Amino acid sequence: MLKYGLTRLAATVPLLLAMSVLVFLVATIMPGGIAVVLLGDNASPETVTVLEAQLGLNDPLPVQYARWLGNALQGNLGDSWTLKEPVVGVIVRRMPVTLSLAVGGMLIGIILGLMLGIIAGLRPGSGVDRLITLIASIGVAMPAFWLAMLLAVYFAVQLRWFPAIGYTPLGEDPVKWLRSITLPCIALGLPTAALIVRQMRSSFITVLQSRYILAAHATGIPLWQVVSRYALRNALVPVVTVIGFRLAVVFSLSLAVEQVFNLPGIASITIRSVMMRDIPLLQGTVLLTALFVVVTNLLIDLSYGWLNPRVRLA
Amino acid sequence: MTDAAKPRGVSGQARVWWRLRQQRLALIAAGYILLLYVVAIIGPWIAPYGPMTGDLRSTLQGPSIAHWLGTDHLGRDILSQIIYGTRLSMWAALEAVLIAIILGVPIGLLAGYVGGKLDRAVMWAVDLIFALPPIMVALGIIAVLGTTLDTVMAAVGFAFSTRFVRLTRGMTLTEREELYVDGARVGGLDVWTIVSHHILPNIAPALIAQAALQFGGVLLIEATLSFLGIGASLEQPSWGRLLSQSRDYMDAYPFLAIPSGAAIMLAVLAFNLLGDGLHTALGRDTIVAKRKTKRRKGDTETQRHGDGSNARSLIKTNMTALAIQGLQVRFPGAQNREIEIVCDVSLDLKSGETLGLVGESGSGKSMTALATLGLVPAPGWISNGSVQLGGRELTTLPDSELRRLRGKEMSIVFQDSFTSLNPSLTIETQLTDPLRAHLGLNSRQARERALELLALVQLPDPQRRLNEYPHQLSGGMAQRVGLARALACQPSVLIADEPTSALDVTVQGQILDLLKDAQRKFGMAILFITHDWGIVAELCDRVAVMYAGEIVETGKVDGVFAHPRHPYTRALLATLPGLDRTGTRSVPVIPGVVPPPQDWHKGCHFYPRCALAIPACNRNPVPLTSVGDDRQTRCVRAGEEGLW
Repeated sequence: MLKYGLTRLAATVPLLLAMSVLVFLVATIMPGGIAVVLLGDNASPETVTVLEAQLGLNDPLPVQYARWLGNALQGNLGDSWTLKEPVVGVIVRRMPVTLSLAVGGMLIGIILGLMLGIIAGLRPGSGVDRLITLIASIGVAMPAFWLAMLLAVYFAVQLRWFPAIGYTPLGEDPVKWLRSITLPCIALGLPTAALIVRQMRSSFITVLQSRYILAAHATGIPLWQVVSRYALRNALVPVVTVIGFRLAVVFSLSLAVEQVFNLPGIASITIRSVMMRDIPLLQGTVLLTALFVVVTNLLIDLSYGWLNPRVRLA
Repeated sequence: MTDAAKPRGVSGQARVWWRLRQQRLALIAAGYILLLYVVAIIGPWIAPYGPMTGDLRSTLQGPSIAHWLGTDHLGRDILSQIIYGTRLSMWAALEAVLIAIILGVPIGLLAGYVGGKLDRAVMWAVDLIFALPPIMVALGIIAVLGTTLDTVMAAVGFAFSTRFVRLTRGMTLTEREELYVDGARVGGLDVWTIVSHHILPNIAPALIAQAALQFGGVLLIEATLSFLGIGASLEQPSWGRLLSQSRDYMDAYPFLAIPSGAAIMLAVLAFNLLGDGLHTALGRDTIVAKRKTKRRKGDTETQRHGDGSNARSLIKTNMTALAIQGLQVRFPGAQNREIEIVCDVSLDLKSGETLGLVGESGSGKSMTALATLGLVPAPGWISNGSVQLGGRELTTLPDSELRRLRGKEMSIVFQDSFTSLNPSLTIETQLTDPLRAHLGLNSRQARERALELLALVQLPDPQRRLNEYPHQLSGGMAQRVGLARALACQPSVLIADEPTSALDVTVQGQILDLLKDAQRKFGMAILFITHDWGIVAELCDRVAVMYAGEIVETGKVDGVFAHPRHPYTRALLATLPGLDRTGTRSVPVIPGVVPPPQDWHKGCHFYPRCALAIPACNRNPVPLTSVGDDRQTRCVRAGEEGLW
């Protein structure tokens, strides 16, 4: 298992490198070039040339990339053009918010999704199954930010159970922190649960019809044991794939949800970077997403190894 | 709907249409999507107000006759804005999906068809982009190219094109191996013609289903981006933009968020449902049938075949290990009809005896075995008959009690040992779980017992094997494990469902020897399902021949071999190469195959294939009649002298 884990870890290096090349290239293909973006369209050609020389933009691309990557590896992605402060600092400050939402939403989605998926898959075609399937279909189509707004209107504005906007850091007050992320996490978690329900249900039904489950029933071991030990683990394999993809999506969905609840996460800086063409900031957020995705995929690969001995021992 | 429910003899395309029509939800969804596009086209003519015409005297009003969905903060009519929003959102989604298809499908086709380095390079790049959430890919592109709606949708289309590349490539890889592609290649057609004229039409339906699903995703992303203020500008009323405007009035007028949000959700839902429906209609797999929890029907039928209590007095319980009487298994079929796949099976099995159950595939042997164990797969059920184990009626037992007998008093060995072992659990777990459940052993005792069992089935190095997984075993070893699991609690009845058919001849012999040894040690009765008369001759005391859901002949092995009394038995025996004394090596076969259950004749099931058939055979169900000592046959002409 350790060897398998290390191989998977090593495999992420080329992926991350490729991502960094893509992210780096974003800056170089800007129409007009970086200097024009920085100085505005009215800048005189002379100032543009001077700035280009200052920024080292006349060096060959590989040299520029090596310089940029070297800095990036030392935790320096440059200063944001619009915020006038180091990109890494901005991201590190805002990261806990987005991470809280993504992880919390994912947890709700996984727990709820697996449970309902199993219940539906145990009795396909039954009333419970049809109800769960219907709700899941609606849930998958539900825009997370709309759900967030509806939750905010009802539970925050009308019932006043939770704050409608704002964020309290975990270190400051854990209870307030939990209350400030509850609604956003639910808004991210319910559509995620809907997606997982659908996958879990169909994969559970497939596994329950398999020969080895029939054989397990034939040995007379109790039903709960057949379901929990013999069926669940095998049924989880395709579900884990869906969870992996979903993690990345939840990370990006939290952009809109953060906006609804006015949370100081990476959403507002991402949107800012896109709207104002703040390239270092954009590079930072995209790199962060890529890192998040790569780490996620690594975890998913490791869980494959745990779920499926054929992968682990191969 | 089961497989049997689909009309037979219909072409593939017609079948897909037929299956699609069965799905009311998908049809409603398709209708709704059509409606959305009609609204998108004629929107300006049907909208009661212009999208931007506001009346500041009537802001944030609830639904009224003048404004069906109320007004917003500038007094603009919400219904009109939704209608104009439909035009924008539906067009944007179409644009993005078309871009995704135009970019993705040709690349996927080429990568899949050409393969090799091109394929690896393309897939590497695609996986790289695919790893990022599409919205981030789109944001990156938008930052570079600008935030007009067209660039936004082009960016989203690019982000989604990777999905089409992956899907198209996967299907092309499969299609490439098909004969018609070989034919085209041999015919000297160039790559592009083969791919576009031959492969594309075959994978197009699946692509369309995928496109419908992607439409939903694209709509959601467009709404999200508009909501974030990227894409549709303030003057363009897209659904997401309307939602984001309503955010400022959440306290004062929460209803504002409802119409636009519902519009997005319904549209996405419609595309998802349509995609699911298309997917199901195209799928080769059948839809999971509605489960019927129906068990045995009224008592009247049961009495005809003898109820459990009656039968018990007739059968010497000390002798008979397993008694099956008039067993009937049904599955739901088309138009609420029921299809009988085991019709009338009666078998007696005495302790220490081996009974062979012989017949072609599709005759219902395995279903009989499963029904005996109470394991008829859903949605089927035992509709009639009785199964008695040591005098105890099983068909009326609740599942929890049946479980206590399964694996302990009776067990089964399956044909394919690999698929019957759980791929993700160790041999130890799979052997010790039944031991612990039935005998109450703790884990150490169960492990010791498992080692004994593996020694009994002569698996080399049992210590090591216990910690291994099924994929680390050979076929013969896996079957030994399967046998050890079946023998774990020394059952009184063992059902062996073609346990050696998948093995090579030497291993076959070893497994059969093991079975004989175990039978001598434990005195169990064996029901041996096979189509190999050689095994019947070697192993069995008596034999029952099964055809199309019925037992057609039973008797002692010697007698049946020497003088078959049913045309089907005779035909089966005639296919044995060993009996062919003429010296030719050709293996004769019975013409035709076992017909599917819904086509079984009311009279003799073998009638259509029988060499001795006369019109009387097809009139009424033929009963199993006794013809001499311990010998029964189901043939109208059984009594005719000179035939046999």
